[in-house]
Amino acid sequence: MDETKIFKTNIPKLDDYLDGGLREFSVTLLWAYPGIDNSPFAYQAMVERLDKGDRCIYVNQSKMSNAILNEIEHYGWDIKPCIENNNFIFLDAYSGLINADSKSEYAVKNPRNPTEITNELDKLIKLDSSKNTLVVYDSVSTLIDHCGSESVYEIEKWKTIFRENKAFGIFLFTKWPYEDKILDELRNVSDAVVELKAIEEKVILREFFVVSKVGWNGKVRKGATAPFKITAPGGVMIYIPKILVTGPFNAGKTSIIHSLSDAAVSVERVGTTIALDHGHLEYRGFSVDLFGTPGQERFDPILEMLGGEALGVIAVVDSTNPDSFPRVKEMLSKTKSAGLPSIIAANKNDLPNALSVEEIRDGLGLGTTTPVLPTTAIDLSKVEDNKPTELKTEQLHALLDALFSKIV
Amino acid sequence: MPKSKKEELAGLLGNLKDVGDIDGAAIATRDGLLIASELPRDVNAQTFAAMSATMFGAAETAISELRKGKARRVISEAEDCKLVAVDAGSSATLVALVRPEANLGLILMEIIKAANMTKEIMK
Repeated sequence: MDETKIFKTNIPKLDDYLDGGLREFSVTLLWAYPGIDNSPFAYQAMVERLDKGDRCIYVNQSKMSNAILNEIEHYGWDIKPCIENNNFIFLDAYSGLINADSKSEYAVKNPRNPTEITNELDKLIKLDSSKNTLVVYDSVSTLIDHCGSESVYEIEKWKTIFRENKAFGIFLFTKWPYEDKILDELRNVSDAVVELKAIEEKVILREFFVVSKVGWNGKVRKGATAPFKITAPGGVMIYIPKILVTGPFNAGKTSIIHSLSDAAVSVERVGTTIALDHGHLEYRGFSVDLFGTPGQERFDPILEMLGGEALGVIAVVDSTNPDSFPRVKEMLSKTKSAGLPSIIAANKNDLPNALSVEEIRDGLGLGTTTPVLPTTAIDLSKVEDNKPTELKTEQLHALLDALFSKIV
Repeated sequence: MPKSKKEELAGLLGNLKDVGDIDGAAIATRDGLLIASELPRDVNAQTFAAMSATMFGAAETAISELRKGKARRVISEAEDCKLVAVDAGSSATLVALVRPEANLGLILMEIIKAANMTKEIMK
């Protein structure tokens, strides 16, 4: 049986992709392409480990300790108590580079000498052997820049130290144009590599993380990709810039958007959406923007215009109105939703003449791959004409869970 | 290192804002996604982009229903501002937030210049 300990990072989706999280003794490289900030990933994992009572050593070679503390605070995390009880320790390898006196208790006098970094790290890890230790190295690019390309072989020694002292590492790295030999060696020595890259899709630049190497067994999803966005406060979130909410007139699209969003904006006249509903929600590490379309045929040009570039679709149907089902299919085709992850919200499912979920599936001619889930009003007596109705939160969450699991 | 498209567009919007009487601007895709923005802090840029694209698209559709050619721009006048949305290529719109007392003729020239540059950058 595999006895290796698993450490969660609390970065949405990443723990799933890594089959639970980081492994004891392992080194995970956060391999960012220039222009992308990888440090929030490390901060988030670090805060999670500190929260679970582990110790963290932050080797800062690219910026001042204070700058890092300010950033962590900016993302809304409070690690002051951990600094006081020595669970969070800086190993200052920066001050030496700029010939300044270090204000940290632990510092590398000459950070241009990798052996010295190794010795200081070894001493510091051994100070407290009772706890698991996460070592964040910020950053391997600075190490290479100041200590030369040979310094990547020093990482092998750090891994030996990790094995002897219940430690594991997250190393930050920015892929400047280094020689292939260095890049290969880095990839070799790391147990897992998570690449952070920006992909331009049409005109929008989207940031993704990709698990490109995992050295441990288990149900890991190598090559698994998720779009992300860094929010402050909040940290790393899975970012879905467009989910289309569509469906026939009076099915309840606006109700779904307003019930899901913290603040939704609608363009409506006498209770009918004429242009667009727009809402934003944050749920289980996902940051999502919802686009709700109008339902009537006369607004179809707008439907076609706004349908593009969605990452997923919620089609809302009125469970009591099977006559509208052909229109649902028409709308899905007009929004070019074919092939996109989609889900059917069977709204008004508790009304006396509502069809069952199975009947709706048959009525729409859907296979079993598209989930059909019921949604209902919290309080039927409060349902008013021409006003969005509050829907039951747990049903909406089930809807989101099903859709998100199809998107990433 | 050459600037990314994102940085170029951000720079372009920054320059536009430096023209007097323009309080902010954003570039959105025709289908309502935000590409870049330089807006007052309290504005939700995503929602603004979605609504601006809808406004421009609806005007375009209305005009094409009349068969009166291509929509060039949409200007909406509010109590405290004017909103100017212009065509910025087949995939984008540029929207500027203009002060109500501004000389629209001059401002329009600057906005159209920025829209043309947007077209170039996104080619």
